[in-house]
Amino acid sequence: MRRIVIPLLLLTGICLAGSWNLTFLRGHVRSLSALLEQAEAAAGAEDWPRAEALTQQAQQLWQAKRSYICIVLHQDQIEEADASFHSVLAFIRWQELPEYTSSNALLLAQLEHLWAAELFTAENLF
Amino acid sequence: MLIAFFRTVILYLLIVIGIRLMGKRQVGELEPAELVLAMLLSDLAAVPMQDFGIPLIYGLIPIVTLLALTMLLSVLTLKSLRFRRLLCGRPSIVVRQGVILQQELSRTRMTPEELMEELRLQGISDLRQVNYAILETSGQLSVLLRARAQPVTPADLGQEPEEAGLPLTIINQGLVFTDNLSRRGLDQRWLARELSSRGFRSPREVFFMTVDEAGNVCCMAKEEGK
Repeated sequence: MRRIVIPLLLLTGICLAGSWNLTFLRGHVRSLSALLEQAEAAAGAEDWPRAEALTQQAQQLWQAKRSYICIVLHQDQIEEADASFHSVLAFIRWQELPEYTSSNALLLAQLEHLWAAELFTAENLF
Repeated sequence: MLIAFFRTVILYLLIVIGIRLMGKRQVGELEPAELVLAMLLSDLAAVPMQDFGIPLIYGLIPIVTLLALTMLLSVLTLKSLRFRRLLCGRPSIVVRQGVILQQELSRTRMTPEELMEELRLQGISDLRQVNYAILETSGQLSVLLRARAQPVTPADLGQEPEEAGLPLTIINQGLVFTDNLSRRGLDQRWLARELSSRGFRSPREVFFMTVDEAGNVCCMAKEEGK
């Protein structure tokens, strides 16, 4: 009986860890996206200091969980998001609304992709 | 993580079924599930080892999943005969009383040449000597000879030779294995006596020496210049 319990526990453990990871990533990305969307609204209202503060807050939040994210996600995905954060902040400092909006949209899409790629769908599976 | 897990499960089961459908000849000495594990493990370990961009966990999850699935399948094959037949197949009799069973042979995708080659490897050149040839689930051919073709044993002659038992190495390339010497209940004095009776002055002159349970000694001298 023990011989069948060990593999079943291992398989169940991996499934649970995978589900928890998906929930964590979704929650983390949603928090980041909410801050970045608020920043975009502030930039649209020409409130650049608030847009910069909110984007920096999102970047700090991203950095705070970076160690865990490095364990579970591909390095190139993380580096792309890092680079996008930098370019979004640069466009805020230059107060270039069209470039900022496009760069922020790209960052939001990259972040969304981080957890969407982990979703249990036929598209991802095959 | 979750996708890596389910992809591993799907691919593993797919390859196990594929190997199973390929027939026994391709399996070799391993069971289908073990063969698939051996095939996949090395690749899975190598990819995250070489590519630092891939997290180690993407190698660990498939490896642990594969090991757990193999453990699970091995327990299921032990517990259920039906599952074992499904996963490993059943032995096929390909020769019965010197006659090749052609349908069974073609079912196992084995050619008559391959069958003869396997028989020759077992020292049989005449098919008529074979009572049964069975292709086992491991892919190996078991051959049962006809009574008239079987080698004569001491029991057939009504003799009971003494069991020699396991020979233990006493000297290997001049080096004395004292543990084995005491395991046989012998000592250095016995060794010195034995060596001198064979014309050796020291164990260093001996290449290899064994003693079996009956006390039979096999001793070989070192070649000149070695």
